[in-house]
Amino acid sequence: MVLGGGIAGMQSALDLANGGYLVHLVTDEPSIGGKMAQLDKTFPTNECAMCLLGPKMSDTLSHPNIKIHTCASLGKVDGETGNFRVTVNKAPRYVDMNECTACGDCEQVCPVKVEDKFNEDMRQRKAVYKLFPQAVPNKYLIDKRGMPPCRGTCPAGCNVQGYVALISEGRFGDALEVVRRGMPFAGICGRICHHPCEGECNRQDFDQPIAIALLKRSAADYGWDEASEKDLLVKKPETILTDINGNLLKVGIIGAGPGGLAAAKDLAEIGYKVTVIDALPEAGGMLRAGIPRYRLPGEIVYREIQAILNLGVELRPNTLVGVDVSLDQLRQEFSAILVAVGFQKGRSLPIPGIELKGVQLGVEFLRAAALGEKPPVGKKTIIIGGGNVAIDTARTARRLGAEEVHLFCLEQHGSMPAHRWEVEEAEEEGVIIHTGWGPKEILGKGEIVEGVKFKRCKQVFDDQGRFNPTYDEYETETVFAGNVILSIGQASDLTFLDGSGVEVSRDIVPVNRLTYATNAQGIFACGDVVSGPASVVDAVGSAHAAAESIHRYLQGMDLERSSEKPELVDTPEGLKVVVKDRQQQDLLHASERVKDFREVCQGFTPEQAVEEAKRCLNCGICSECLQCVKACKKNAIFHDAIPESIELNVGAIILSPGYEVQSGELRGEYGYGIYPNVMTSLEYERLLSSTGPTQGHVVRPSDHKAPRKVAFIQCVGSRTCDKGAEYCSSICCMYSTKEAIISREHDANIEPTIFYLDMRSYGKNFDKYVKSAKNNGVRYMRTMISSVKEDPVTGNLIIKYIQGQEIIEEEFELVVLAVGVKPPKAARELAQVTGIELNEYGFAYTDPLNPTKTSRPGIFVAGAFQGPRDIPETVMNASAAAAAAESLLATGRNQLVTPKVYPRERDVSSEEPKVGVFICRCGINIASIVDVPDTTDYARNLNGVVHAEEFLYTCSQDTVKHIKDVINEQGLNRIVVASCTIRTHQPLFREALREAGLNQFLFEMANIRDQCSWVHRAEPQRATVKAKDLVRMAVAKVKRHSPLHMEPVPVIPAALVIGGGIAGMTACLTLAEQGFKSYLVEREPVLGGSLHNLYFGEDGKDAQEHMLQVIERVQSDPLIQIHTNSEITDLAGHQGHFTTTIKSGDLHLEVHHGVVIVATGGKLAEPNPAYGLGKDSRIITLIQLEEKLHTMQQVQNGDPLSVYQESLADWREAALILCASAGKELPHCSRTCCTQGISNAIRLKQQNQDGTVYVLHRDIRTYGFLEAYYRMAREMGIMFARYDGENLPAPELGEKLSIKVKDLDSELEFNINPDLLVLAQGFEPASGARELGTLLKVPLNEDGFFMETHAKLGPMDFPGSGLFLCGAAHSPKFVSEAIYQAQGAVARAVTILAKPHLMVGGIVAKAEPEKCAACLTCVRVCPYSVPKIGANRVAEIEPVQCHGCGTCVGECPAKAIQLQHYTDEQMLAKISAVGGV
Amino acid sequence: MAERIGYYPGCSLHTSAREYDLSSRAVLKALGMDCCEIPDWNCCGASSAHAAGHALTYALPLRNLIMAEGVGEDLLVPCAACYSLLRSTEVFLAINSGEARKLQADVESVMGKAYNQKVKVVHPLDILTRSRMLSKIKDKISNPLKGLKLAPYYGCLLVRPEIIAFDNTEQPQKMDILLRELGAEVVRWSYKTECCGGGLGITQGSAAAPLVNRLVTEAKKAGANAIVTACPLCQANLEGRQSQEMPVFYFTELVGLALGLPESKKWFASHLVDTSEALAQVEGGLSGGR
Repeated sequence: MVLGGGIAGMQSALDLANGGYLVHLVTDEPSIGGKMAQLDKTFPTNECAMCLLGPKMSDTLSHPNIKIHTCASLGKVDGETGNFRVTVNKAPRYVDMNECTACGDCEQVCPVKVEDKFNEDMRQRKAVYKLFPQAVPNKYLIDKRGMPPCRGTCPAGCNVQGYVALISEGRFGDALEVVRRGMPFAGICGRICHHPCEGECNRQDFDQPIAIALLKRSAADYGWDEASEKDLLVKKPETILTDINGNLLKVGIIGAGPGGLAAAKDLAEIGYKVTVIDALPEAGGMLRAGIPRYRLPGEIVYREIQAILNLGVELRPNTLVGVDVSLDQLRQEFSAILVAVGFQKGRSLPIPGIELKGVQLGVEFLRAAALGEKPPVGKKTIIIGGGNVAIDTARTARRLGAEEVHLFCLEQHGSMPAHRWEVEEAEEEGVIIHTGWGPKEILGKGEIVEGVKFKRCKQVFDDQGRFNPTYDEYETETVFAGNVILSIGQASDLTFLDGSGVEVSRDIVPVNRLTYATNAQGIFACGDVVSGPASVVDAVGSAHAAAESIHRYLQGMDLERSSEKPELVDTPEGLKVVVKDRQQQDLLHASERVKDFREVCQGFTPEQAVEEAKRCLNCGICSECLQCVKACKKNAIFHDAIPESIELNVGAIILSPGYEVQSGELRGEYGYGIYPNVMTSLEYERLLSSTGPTQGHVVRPSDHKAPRKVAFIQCVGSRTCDKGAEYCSSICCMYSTKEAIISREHDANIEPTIFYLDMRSYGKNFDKYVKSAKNNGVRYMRTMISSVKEDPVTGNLIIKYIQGQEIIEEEFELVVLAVGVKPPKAARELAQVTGIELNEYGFAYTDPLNPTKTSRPGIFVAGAFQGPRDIPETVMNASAAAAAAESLLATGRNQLVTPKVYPRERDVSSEEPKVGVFICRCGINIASIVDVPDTTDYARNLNGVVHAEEFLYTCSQDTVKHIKDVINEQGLNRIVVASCTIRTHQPLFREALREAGLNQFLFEMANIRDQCSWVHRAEPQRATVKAKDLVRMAVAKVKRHSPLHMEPVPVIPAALVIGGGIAGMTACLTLAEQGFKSYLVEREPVLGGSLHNLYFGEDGKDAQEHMLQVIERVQSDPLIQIHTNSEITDLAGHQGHFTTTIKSGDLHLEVHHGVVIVATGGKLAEPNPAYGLGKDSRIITLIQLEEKLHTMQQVQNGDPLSVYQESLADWREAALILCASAGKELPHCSRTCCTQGISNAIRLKQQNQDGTVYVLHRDIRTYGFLEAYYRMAREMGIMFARYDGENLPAPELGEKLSIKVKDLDSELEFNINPDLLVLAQGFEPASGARELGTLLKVPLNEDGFFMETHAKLGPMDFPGSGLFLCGAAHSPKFVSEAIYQAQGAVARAVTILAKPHLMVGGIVAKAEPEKCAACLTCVRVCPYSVPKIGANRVAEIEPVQCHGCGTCVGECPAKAIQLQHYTDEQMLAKISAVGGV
Repeated sequence: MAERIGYYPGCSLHTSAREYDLSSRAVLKALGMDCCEIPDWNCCGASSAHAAGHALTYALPLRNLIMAEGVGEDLLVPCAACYSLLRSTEVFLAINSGEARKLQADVESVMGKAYNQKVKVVHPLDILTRSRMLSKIKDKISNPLKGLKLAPYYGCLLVRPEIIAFDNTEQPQKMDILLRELGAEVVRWSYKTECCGGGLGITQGSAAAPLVNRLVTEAKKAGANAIVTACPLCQANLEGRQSQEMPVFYFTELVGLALGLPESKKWFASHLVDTSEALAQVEGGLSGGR
């Protein structure tokens, strides 16, 4: 198993899979690709990162032996090396991977936009998304966080986030449909709901909650017509439900209020026959007969009820149960009954005078008013009560003509049960509110009411919180009025249940609160009769539950169901919220309002609604609005998918979870997160990328203007002791250089400046890269930046730095922080799960001499999880980890990979071409632009075509199967698919041909999507013409296709390893571990190479001891044949089978092997003569120093073998010159000398603590964790002084050595007189490397090191197949690096050696001997050096070696070479078809 | 019941920074906290003691910490310099090094009183920006400072060193949050923690003046009507050495103003720079100043 889908994970997986192992590639991301996918270009090659990555991702995906598990993490690792049981937890993607065709229809309709992490939050993506456009697997997924509080709080379960998101896009009709799933009364609740959702809205932590209720109203107001047109209002049932006898299943609902109607809708939608019975002439209950019209216009109520009745719900008005019909009768008629009669009666009070004329009850007063009966009001009216109904009553009275309305309530102003806003509006309308009063008696004159005497209410609730008012009977007030309305509460009328057996208790019907079943079989209840007076939304909520219970009851299912409520999510972590006030609706002016019953609240305008909806924070990310489900024509979306856990049985585990970047906020003084124009390097990388937020235009965030002066600040979060990490992040100097160069390529006006401490261009060709940057206008400033300030007017940034003695303030338009590398987020957890150790910095711990092995056997690491590193190092590392795993599992090779068996290939040579054309609609991707039916008709009539057919998705499994069937049924022998691109889909269709018994090369694709519909959106007609052209061309070519066959060539399972240093020896040992024989050829009489010059490894351990151990192991291994004192004189053959002549003295030996590994290393360069080596005994090389220190250490350790005892302790002043082989300029960095020099300076200082040690250097390049040496040296008091090539610190010889030091950092000049001067030599290629290069036909770079196929992705491969590279022959490196590159080279080699034979042929170049003039053109142009002039004096192209690139074909002057499958005849036929018809 | 909190005014709050003293007490009182000045407090030594001897650096504040025990759980220290030193002393003693133990023993023996590590040193800005307090303030605002543009200035000591910081040391935010809650607009500027030269204000005025003028110029450039500070030294230095008529408020004065405390008008009278023009920016027109 390989964990991590980045470049390391893919490399390990591919090497293993090609080496004959089954690989599970597990990544927690939805796509493989890793961090590299986010990069724009790579250094030092300036190539497009995505273009390099694409093929690698495709190879990984299409490899039959790699199983990719996305969105997955490790749960548990049991077992032991060779037999692990790994639990992998897979998070749901909610999109079926087999069905998704990545057409993007779901993304189009998804209304939720969230920050796009892949683009570093600089742009937005949808909740259904692909990680990036080229994601692999190319499948969508849905991002869900959980239940947003708005939705979770709504009693009716209304999907708030869903409809708010749709409104934010102005899609009111779709929004209304989402509202009505949970809340059938969108327009009603949008007006009158008490919206508990808004109280829970997470947005209020930032400013104010979203105006949810008003948005719901907007959905109803502006979406009704659209929803009606799109037929979204009435969801007719799919089937009508009947009992076993075929009778309709009927449900009777008593009460046509909100509860009864909501239940009716639910049940009717399922397929029940529903009848609603109500005492009033019209349906609606309190909606129609309780709530005043100025709050809820009648037409809104009408149309929402009508939409429910339109489902086929029958309404029986004017029917009072218990009077007009008995409950028993209803029980006869209906299979189930729902009681939803609500609280219809007003409550009265037992006080004197209550019976007087002119005393009314609020509920009845409102009902009369609503039904248009004009109940009487006096000029002066008294309302008693402080709830919402009292307020409604008061305001209604005002509208009916009462000039003075006095409202008396028990409570104080702040604690009235009525909503605050209702009270305010009433007061605006002139209602006079008297708080803290209770009625004592109603006064009358005869039978007519005259006024009310009130008493002071002292307390409304008692200590237990129960309603239990206490009064001061002596403080009273008398108010005179002709009309008194009591609005102190409501009551139910449940007399119709008397004697029915349904239990009634204190005004309500007791039910099971989960199922809403009453004690009587088949009778359910919901709404106010269950809960007491509550709200519409509560009634609807209970109606949903009751309806579901009725459904369960009628289907014979268990009524009890889980009542578990999902946890509500809070605001998404790290979300940046810009404060924005909530929109305000207009209200009718109070003076207008009291005139009639016109609606008071005007709602939002559509524009306001959209603005308001955009404030939503999308807490759940996916809103489950289900638009994607509707849009997906493949039915691939499953919102209720759940996480799954799988167990894998694996032999070895490779961990390559990559790294994270440090936060820009670590260094607050640079203002990241505060100043908009300060960004991180990764953000800048996205800015440069053509798939990034600005399509590659460099513009700064504050004003989207192109910046001129751009500053890069290095070491943010690296090389620091307090904020970030102590180590060097290794890659930042180079990536900033790259970003600076690329910036100028994008926009030549940009003037980049890089502020740095040391330029760590320690890798292969890196110094040349920096030089080219300098030549291209990149300015480098060596200085630490202490702070960045912002000009508040321009947004420009002012950087203050010291140059010489001067403090300079310079203004920049954009600042990029080179953020460092830190361990991956999951590192600790991963360490815990896998049981591996981490190092002090939190990266995986490994031993430098066994660089991929963790502390737990069988578990290996690769890539940046081991420490910061660049891409080539990562690739080497990953291949090395693969080799280590292969060694472990050598006996299991090729056991789990079963070759596929295909039917015998049909011979079609004698048949006339019978072409089948299959044309893809690609959902709407092609079909919405290109007229696909027309194109299909056209194809059908082309010459040679016998079958043409169109599909929604040609690549879907059922279509592919259909194609195979058609091939067999109709005897097709040539196939054309017109759809997308061969890059991704050709393998699929070729496979289908093979499975149908056709040669896979009898296939051609026409790309009518990427190259037609996508680029010609504006011109559909001409796009159709072009699609026909493309199809015609494909048909013309495919008719001339002939079958091509791959031939097996046997592989010799042995390797030739050239060079007996640590790299070569490691390669041989690794090959041997895997069971492969090797021939190790070494020029010198002994093995060991440059290791003979190394006494302390980079970890400080004894390198000589290690060398001897390795030599011993090599010598004793029977699979390794050692040839010392030997050289290669000839190499012939090809990958899989080379023949090599080894010359040992006068003996010539011929060996046969499948691969070659070059590990010839290098040698120390001579020090610059200016330093006087050899002229003074006090001047020695670093090697000599190290040897002495090593000896002393052994003496100190009491090693009796050591007799050499020259003391080093008598020096007083010592100096070490780094880069001592170089002159004015450094040809290339030798990489190891800084560390080697400083670590020995430390040893020196430890020997003599009173002495002074100087290190004279150009740059200090202690990259990665090696930085610890540099820090330690400085802490010990070792003096560092920087010189440059213009002023070499050459000593004056004499009695004293005298060096004039001019330190460039402090600008101090001083003299030192060292009694020990140590010269650190550089490292250069081995002598004879060039000759070997000629022999092997492999190139060298200008420094004389061997050149790999590709600096980034092919660091161990040569362009010629079967030839590999490792160790210092590639470039200078540490022992550990040579070791893993050698192991990596073996993993690469094994991809050939593991196969019994190579399949050869197919799309390769073929020379026709009779036409060849042996002009050598092909020999010279082939990038892989394949063509040779053979024994017959004509060009021969070895099919095993040929890459099929076609270069020689194009160049051959005699046209003697043809590329199979792209022959002149085929291409000409295709091209001439352009003009033809 | 008002919560009792110890109060250490230091030398400036009873003299040059009276308005800071009055406004701090008044605001906390309005928010339900009663500031009780600790008995017989002494100079904390912030500006000079450490130069006279290392032991004094912590000894003087420690005496105050001992005196504060029993007054309240928290010890409120409005002066940024005093706060930094008292809080550093608290942390120094909490870490309990050999040096700390010796110092504690010495001071205890001189005073004849033990130090029990019972008091927690807090700054009013820290207290007022805790979420419970913020919502209390939100509820009580009667006079939102809408229209006023302010440059919050934390100076060098309030949030440094990091070990005592109650806010981000490089990009502190708490005063910004508080002022925004009061209804004011907070300008973005880069000089929040830049030195004003207050320490050299008396001994070397020529060094302080350019620093002050830079700060005032930058605040103006950022669009501020006034600078807001939490340090008596900064306030005196910033108001006293500039020639640009930019008032410098204590943040507590503005909280008091927004809460509508009637006495708030009096505080502004003791400023060296006329505050009336700045306060006139408040929508609805408050007026203050000389």
